[in-house]
Amino acid sequence: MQRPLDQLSSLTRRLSQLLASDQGARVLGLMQKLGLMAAPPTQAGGRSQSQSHSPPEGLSPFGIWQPDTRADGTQVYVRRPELSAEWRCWADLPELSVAKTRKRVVLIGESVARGFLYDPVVTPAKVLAKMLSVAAGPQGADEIEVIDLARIDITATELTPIFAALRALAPDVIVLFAGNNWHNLPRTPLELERLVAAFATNGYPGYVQQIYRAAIRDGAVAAIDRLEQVASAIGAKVAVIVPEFNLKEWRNEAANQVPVLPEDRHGAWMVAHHQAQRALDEGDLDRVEQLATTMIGLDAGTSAVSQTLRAEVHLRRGALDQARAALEAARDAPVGTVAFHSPRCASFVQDALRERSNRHGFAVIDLPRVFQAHAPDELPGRRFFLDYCHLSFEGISLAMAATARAVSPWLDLAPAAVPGSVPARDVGLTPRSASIAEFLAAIHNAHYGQGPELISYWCKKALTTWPEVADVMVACVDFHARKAPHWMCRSFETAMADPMIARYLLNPDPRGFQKLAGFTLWQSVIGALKDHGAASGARQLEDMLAHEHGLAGRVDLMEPSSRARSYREARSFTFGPPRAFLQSHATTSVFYLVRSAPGDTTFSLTWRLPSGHRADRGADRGADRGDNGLVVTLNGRQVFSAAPEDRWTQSSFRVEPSALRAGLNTIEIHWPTAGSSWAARIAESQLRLELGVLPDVLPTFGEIFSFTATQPDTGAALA
Amino acid sequence: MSLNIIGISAHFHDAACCLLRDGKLVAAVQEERFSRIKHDPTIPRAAFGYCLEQGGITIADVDCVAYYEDPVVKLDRQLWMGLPQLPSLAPEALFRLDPARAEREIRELLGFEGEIQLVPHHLSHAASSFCFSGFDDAAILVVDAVGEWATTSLGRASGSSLEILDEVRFPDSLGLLYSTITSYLGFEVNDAEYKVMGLAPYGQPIYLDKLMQLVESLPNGKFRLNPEYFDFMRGRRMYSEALCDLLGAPPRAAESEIPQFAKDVARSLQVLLEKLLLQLANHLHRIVPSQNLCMAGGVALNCVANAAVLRDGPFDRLFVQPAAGDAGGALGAAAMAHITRSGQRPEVGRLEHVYLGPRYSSNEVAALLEATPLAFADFRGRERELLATVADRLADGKVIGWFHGGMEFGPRALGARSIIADPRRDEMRDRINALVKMREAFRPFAPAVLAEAASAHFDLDHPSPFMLETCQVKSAIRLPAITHVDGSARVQTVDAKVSPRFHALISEFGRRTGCPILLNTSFNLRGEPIVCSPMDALLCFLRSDIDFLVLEDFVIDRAGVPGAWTGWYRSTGQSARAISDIVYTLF
Repeated sequence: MQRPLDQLSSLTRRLSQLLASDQGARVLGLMQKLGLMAAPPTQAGGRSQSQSHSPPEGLSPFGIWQPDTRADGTQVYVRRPELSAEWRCWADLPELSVAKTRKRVVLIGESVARGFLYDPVVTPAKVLAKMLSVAAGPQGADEIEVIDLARIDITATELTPIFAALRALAPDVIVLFAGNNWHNLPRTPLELERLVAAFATNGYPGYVQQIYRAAIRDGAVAAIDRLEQVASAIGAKVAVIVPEFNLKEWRNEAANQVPVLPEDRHGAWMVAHHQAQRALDEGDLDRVEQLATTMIGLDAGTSAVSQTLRAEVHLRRGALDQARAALEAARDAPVGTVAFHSPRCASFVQDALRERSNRHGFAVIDLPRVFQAHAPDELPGRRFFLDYCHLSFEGISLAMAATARAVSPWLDLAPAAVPGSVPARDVGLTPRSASIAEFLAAIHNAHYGQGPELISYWCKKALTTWPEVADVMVACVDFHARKAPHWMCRSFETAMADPMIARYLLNPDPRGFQKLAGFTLWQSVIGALKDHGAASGARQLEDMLAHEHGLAGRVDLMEPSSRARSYREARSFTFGPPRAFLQSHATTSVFYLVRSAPGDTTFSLTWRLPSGHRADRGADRGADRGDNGLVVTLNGRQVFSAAPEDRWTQSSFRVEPSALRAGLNTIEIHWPTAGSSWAARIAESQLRLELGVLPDVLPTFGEIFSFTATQPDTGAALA
Repeated sequence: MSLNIIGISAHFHDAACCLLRDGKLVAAVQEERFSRIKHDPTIPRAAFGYCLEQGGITIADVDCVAYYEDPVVKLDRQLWMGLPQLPSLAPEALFRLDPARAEREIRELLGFEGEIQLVPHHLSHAASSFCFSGFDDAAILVVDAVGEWATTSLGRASGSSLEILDEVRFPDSLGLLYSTITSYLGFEVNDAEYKVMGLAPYGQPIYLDKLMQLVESLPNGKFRLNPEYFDFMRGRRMYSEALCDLLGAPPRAAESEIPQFAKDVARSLQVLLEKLLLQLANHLHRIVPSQNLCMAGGVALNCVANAAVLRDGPFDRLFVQPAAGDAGGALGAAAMAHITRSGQRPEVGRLEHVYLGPRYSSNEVAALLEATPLAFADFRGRERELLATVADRLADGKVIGWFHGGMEFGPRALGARSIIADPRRDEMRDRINALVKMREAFRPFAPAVLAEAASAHFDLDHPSPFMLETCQVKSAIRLPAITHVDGSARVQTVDAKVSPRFHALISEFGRRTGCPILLNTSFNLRGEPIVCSPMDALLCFLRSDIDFLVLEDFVIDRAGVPGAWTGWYRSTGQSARAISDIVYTLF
């Protein structure tokens, strides 16, 4: 160990005093990045490393799989026991055979390629294998195998070790079905520095998004190019499936409306949005279109809300192609804003998949075109999708039929022999498993903040497909709605007996379960049960909800079970470090309170408006009810208001029993629409990026440190 | 109006938060207990929320947040240690050279708007000990790895006055010396130093002469490390090849068999540490001739050395704050901020207990259990029967997970989140190691003894409520599970006024067996933080082979655990660590 000279400490002391500020940390961070980036690429880390990756010869471990040798000397891949928590992300197979005895197709991909929500009963790999088997006829049915290497959530970078393993597996055909998670990028000093520079110029709208998108596109291109290198080396043919999105129905959550904009643009955007909603309600489509165009001009294409409004106009006018274009723009809008959104394959990733695949001579199965050809008069929606990107059985069948046709010549099969679909039962899909997948879709849509109509649709469809699913629905709502951890509830054990439910809901980390305010799902289930003659199940759930949530006493409304309708509302929509208080990225914060026997209730709220808030921003006035300060409503009726205050403020207010309903009550806090200061937020974001922390990109309208509702327990019995 | 001060330690390891209200310690807890990430160093967000809730206040009621070190002085050291690169480009240094981070995160992530007071690291340690010692005056000895620059501080305190008189500066550090040998012996740094302390009695100090080459004694008790044998400044490993050459053996691989050589090195290290601490204590007494000594800092958790300092040194009384490591710095920072504002010393009396963390009522536990298929016995309103039942099982040789009252602050389980068993049984140490702790067989467990019976069984003439002292076992009862190879034990004395239920349980056990002593070890799986909530306790129970779990007034038999739970979560315990266990993260 070299001991620096003690005399140098007088210099470091003076230097540390000069650097004793955010600016000092920024200077040091920049110097460190400079040092790292000036070093050879291997020290800089990040994309350059993965781009230059050269797959090793022989068997290499990848994902959960490690090479092993059976007693008879044959080589196999087996699952690594220490990664058992990750097994459910991959195909439910005990081992993969390395030795090749048949023509081999390998399917690589993400959750869509896993058949998410049908997995492990039905998977695209099984459907593809069946279609190829049918095409091969009785004599050739066993001559082709499909190895399922799809892993949920896989990013472009994470594909590299799987590609490396292909050398040993030596497939004849490689099918790649991925792209929905490729916006998850590694954050190297170089990437961070590019984002910092982007902030300094234009902020989020435009430049940041373009920088981020360019990086995402580069990652997509690199992934396809790496695949080509491997395929060329082993002489395999490649087919790439370009993913499609549920354009028709999937909507971002309310908090993810628009990134922070400069004050004048933010205020104008909020007003235009408010007016556009009103015009839409009134059916004034010209006005909506005009306002949506204004909004897009203000947000520079970073908001799905403005694009969706425009799409709505086109849909109401019957202009399907224009609506599709607007909805594609809505899908793409949040990609690159560094705020959470559900997985999706943006246009520029789709284009990269097409362009690079064509360049390398790969077959391209373009799902947007496949679905459009199959249903030319409708936008892709619940017919093909269970949620945002995961396919229904019909969607899987269409995708795999197109894939089978594309790859069949490479397997010496006639494309015409590939069936357009396979009977569900031939791939193991019974009414029971179809129904369970549909109900899981209801849960998944609810956990991703979708509206009651879509959730209710999947509940009812599940009951129609297989009425006995009612018991499964009751069990699943039971453990979701009880206050005890999911895994500790009796009903959880019952539900987990089903492999599809277990694969989706059996979290390997028992602390990973999140209690949500899932009232939309629970009420949808209860409603569907009643509609389908399962009244006893509905009653059972109503009683349970009253018992679990309806008791008097003190309720912490900050708990996710009282406020979070989705996983993101429970955690955060942004990627910055968690805070000790709640930030509202929507103009209204919603809380739920269940009371069986309503009584006098005292609400206690510690709140403030975001730092830098100015209540007198003229552009904001009239946009929403909270514009003159804080307004709290209970079941739509105002029960409290307060003047704007940007320091923590303790407020208490009492409501009469008559203001509360027996059952579910909704408390809303309406914030002024001015939101957080643009300058302050951009400065904070820049500093964070320079210090290696991702910024909070969404505007904050209000902040809550604590919020409780207390109804003295008088010993009154439950209703 | 009350004076509410929040103390915070963070951004190094063992982040913690406490609330001092009008000088009284209301709440204190480490962030790792909530996040379940061992040694979690992040700004203590959940712990902050807990402290406010426990105090019945909101963030608007907090007068001051006191932070446990001066980041600017720390940056000075960080810049110096990275030389000749400026700034260091080591991966662990990236974005860590950030003197504004503490204040920025207290503002941005905790949301605090009021005054922030930065308290030097060793002054925080000093105050954390003296202000809760009950002494009117004391000499103060702080010894750790490093804070800002100081690694060892000598000070004096009287009333509301504390001052640091002298210090040893980085990189000359007894903490880093101990961690270096810990790493060389194949144990985790910043965590497993106590294992080396536990290993020492199995060896002979035959390497003392060699280890003395690692450190040069200087006048006034000071010392200087020989840089030839260390490598911790480069952030890759703690020791150099020269150390291996000196000791004539390669470093021991983690988890491998422990050879006699390692035991002898551990013993030699322990002797060396005690020698150096005694030199410091003797010098300190010369400049601060008090009868009382207050110790703090991570090295003060070495209870064997503490006993030597008290036994062989010039002081009559010793107080070690039970969270003597960095977590406890939060207490000292808050205490200093209290003195700044009120001019008064907080907590005039001696700290009686550290049950300062979350507690859960029996009704809360009932609500949790009643939703489950778990079989359990409900003893609400029947404490005597509960204690009789548990004592019967203990006497039968069963191992019990014991969860009662507020969680302990600091690294020791003291009867609130403990695994307890009969200390008389030969097989008990191995059994508990196999059932739950999965730890090295050489390490002894500690006894919890009725305070009034302690002197009959241990060579101890004063209370030891925090398990921070070792003494010789002199009991007429054979106590193999808690007696170390050298006949010593690390004793917790249990006072009926402070821990009434735990005291009553030991009493019940004593009535049945004649042994007023229980084996007491922390309620956690290896590599995980001590359990905090009833669910944490249930998960630990589920993942281990503990025979019974007592959650407040409820007793759960392993036979009552649903088979499916075991299928899902058996052996799924994960060791999530927030800091390196290879090298001390000095950035």
